[in-house]
Amino acid sequence: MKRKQSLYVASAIVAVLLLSGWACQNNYAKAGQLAKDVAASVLVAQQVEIQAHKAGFIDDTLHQAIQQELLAVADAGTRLDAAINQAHNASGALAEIQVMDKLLSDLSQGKLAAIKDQNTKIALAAAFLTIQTTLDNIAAFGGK
Amino acid sequence: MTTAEILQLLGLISAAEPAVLGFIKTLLEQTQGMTGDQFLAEADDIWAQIKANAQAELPPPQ
Repeated sequence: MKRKQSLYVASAIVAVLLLSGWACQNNYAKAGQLAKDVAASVLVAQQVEIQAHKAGFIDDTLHQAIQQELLAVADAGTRLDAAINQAHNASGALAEIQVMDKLLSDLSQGKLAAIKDQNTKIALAAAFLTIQTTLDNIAAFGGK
Repeated sequence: MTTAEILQLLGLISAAEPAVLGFIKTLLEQTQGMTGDQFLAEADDIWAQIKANAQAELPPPQ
């Protein structure tokens, strides 16, 4: 019985060490993981848009405008990774996050409004919201 | 205490309490070994794929 109690205490201590150590020592890894999550989410959104275009839910003009903007998002994403990775440059990273946030807001509020198919619009809006939320989490790291 | 030491300790404790601590151990193992550099390298690969996909969808520059 006493052994079991001591195990619980040890477990609690280890859990605290684990969580505090993870938070203190791996912010860089966490920021990197979030940056990868953003890229993966953009890739998913891009694939959804391409498939919706192929299925005829998005016209050619709008499709090309969206892909042009995703290209700009990818350029900013590459610069964001460089700011985090090469220079550990928090202000540079925040600047790129703002660029990406502006592009994604334009996509969400401007380009998506022109899509007539509701399911496509909702799927893409959800994907862009996920990206923006993850970007906000990176910005929170950069602000520390 | 290093991550490896924490994992070793968790391994010992989880022998007694596998249901609770096994879960924490698994979570830690999943993130262990991936550095910030590795995550960012993978992110760069994904951005390159996105750029290639976008360029394939756009008309060639005049």
